[in-house]
Amino acid sequence: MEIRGVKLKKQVRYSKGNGFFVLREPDYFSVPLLADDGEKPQRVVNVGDMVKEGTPIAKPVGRYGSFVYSPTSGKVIGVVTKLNASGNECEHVVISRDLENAKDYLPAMAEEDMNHEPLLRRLYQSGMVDNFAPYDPAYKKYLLRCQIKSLVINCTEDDPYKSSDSALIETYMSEVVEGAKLLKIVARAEKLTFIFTSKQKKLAGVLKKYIKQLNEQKRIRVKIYPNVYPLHDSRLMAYYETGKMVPEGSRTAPTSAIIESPSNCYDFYNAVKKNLPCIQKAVTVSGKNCLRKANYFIKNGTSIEHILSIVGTKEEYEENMLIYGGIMSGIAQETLDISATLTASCILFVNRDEYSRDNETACINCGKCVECCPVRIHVKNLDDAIVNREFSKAKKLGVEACIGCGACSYICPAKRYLAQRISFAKDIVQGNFGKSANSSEFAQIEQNVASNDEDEIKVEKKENFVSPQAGAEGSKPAVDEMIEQIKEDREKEKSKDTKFKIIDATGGGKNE
Amino acid sequence: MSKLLITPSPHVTKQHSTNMLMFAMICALVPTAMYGVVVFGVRALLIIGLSVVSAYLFEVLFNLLKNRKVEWIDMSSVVTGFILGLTLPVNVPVYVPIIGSFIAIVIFKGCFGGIGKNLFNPAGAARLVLGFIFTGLALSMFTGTALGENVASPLAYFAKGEFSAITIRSLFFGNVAGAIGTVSIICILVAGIVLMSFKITDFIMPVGAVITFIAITWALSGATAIVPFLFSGSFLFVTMFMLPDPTTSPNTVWGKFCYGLIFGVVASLFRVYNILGENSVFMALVFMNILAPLLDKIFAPHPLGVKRGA
Repeated sequence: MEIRGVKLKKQVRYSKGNGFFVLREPDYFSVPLLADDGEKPQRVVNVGDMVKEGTPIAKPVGRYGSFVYSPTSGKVIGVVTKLNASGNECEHVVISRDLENAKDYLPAMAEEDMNHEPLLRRLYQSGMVDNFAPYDPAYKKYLLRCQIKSLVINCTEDDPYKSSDSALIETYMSEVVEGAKLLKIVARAEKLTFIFTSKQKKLAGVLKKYIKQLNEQKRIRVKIYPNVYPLHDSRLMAYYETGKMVPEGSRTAPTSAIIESPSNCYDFYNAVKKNLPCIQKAVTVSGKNCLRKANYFIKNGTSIEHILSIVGTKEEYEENMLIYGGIMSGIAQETLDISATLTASCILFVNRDEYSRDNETACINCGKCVECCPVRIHVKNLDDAIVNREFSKAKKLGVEACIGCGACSYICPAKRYLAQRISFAKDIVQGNFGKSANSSEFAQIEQNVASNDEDEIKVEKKENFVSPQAGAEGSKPAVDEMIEQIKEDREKEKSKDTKFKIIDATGGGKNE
Repeated sequence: MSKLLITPSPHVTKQHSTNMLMFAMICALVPTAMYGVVVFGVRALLIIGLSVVSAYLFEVLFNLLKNRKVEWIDMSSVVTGFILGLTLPVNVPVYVPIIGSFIAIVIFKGCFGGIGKNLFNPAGAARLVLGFIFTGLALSMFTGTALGENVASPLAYFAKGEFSAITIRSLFFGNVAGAIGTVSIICILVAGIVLMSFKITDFIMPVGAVITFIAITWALSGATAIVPFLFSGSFLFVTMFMLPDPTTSPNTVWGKFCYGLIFGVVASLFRVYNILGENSVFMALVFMNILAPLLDKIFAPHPLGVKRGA
């Protein structure tokens, strides 16, 4: 399997091995009920309610919603609707912190409960969010009933600034491995694979030693990939691991591999062993304009302004940038009035000489973009088609395969705005230009991927599917009902002996 | 509230630009040119200078005439002029490099739509046209200053099978008649390998070209012909500096390799049968430029996760 991508310039990184800082809690949390985009959960607290740390403040509606928990104990003082860091409008619950520090965690799990069903339920309850795009709830990818060969823990840090995953594994190695083993039970996987890049060789060696101590070398493997960008995309990682590529927007389970992040392993360990719902995230705060570059545990709903006041900046941020996410695929924010969520693992305060602002020049047809594209798009021809507004041709050239990594824009010597234009064309081709992805679209994709050809299943699924509007009218499915529903669906899928549509990446129809 | 700046991701790009790549190319060509000046005298400098300056001026003038955006720091036209000057012999009349630059910049680059849109390598195509207009260039009757007399280029001897007429040592160190830039094989090889190792030019195409050039020459003229054929004329110069020209070559790896292979075949056939004399390599280059879009189409990559034929 040829791994393609670009080699990024090394950044001055925060020195590893110094563990984590816990950010001082702000007085007010403004918790977005939607981490990225997708299905909006149903708010269950009202203004004036007292909440404890770990009290659910939103419950999922529909088939694939997620819980949101209060990051602190205090009083709900308001509900505002504003944009989250991904640019989607959603409700934010504003909680003022009190000094009681009261905790309301999940119920404890018994030792005999450490098998598939209860752990999946705990995963559902924990409110964890997938760290790789698309940022769905974490339990979602475990629901497809496929034969899973390996659960892949993607520890690679392709973004040059990011070091939170390495630091997490270094500091909490036993927890991460334990959490990964628990997730393996959920996935019913045969093997567990940790993947590192060549720049993390040292850490991989330490992990190998630890696994040897546990005497589990046969079931847990450690793999080292070349240090290229991108490796963060889960579909791409599944392709590298299994040789099969699933279509865009679908989960990787049909390729017999599930991709998970080390931070989710750590969170799941906490959820199972310490009954702690997912309310915080290991985040790298960095950038040349940032004074105290470090890895922090940042609670869900902490405002960026608060983070800024603690880490400090060298200069005024006039003409500077705040990037939520990595430098390659993060989103530049126009205001500080946003909250940290559970999705991003990087918050960058970028200096003006750090980011590029070159003007576009004429393409010299060098083919560097074609060479580096990880999904093998002929980027140059595609760009020509988009410039000429030939979107049908763009579709033929595979614009929908684009994972939006931006490697082509990075490598281009003529500084063409390739990734930007292609993402625009992708929106146009897929017909969702100007609107964010919503649940019904997702449900459609799910059906395309998961169901076989019978129409009956589709109809039943549509009936089962609770739309957000229906949820808003008062039908709030409780946790157990949801689990029952999911179980029923799985039984149906099982009885139908579902065949998954897999598009073979090599196109030859045979697996390598 | 301070003003934050917003740009779409990715927020960083690699620290190189078209002009920087072109400038690296110029730097790599400088030793070759200096060697030419040492061998042929100051007139070589005049020919190169005229070619470079006129190429730059034609580019600016043409852009002004066509109301295109004028880029004052435009290294690509300088590279074109430089390469063209290096492929000319030292005793050409002074108007030849100027006419050559006109043909290269205005006809083969400007009229095709400017940088990045030209079908042919401007310098190569212009050199070919010059060879047809001024037949002396094609027959390669040069005044080799180092040799003192009007002598034919090595190609004339080699075509007759007289491989012993010129020693390999003199070929390697440029002690022969030839164009300004093509006499010193050692400079060309070093500059080419440096460019490749810094990933400024592609290494696949030259490798493919040299492989088939050697193979075909061996098959048709025997093993004794390989080294003299490889080191004489403009073959190595074109292979190292003009064949990997990004604009006129395919984009994909296999396309590039095929492009190099076919170039080697065509160039060696022209050379063995002594068609077109010194022009043969440029003819092969222009021929390959026509094939490049076809190769691009044949070896187009297939996107992952998309159904074939959908």
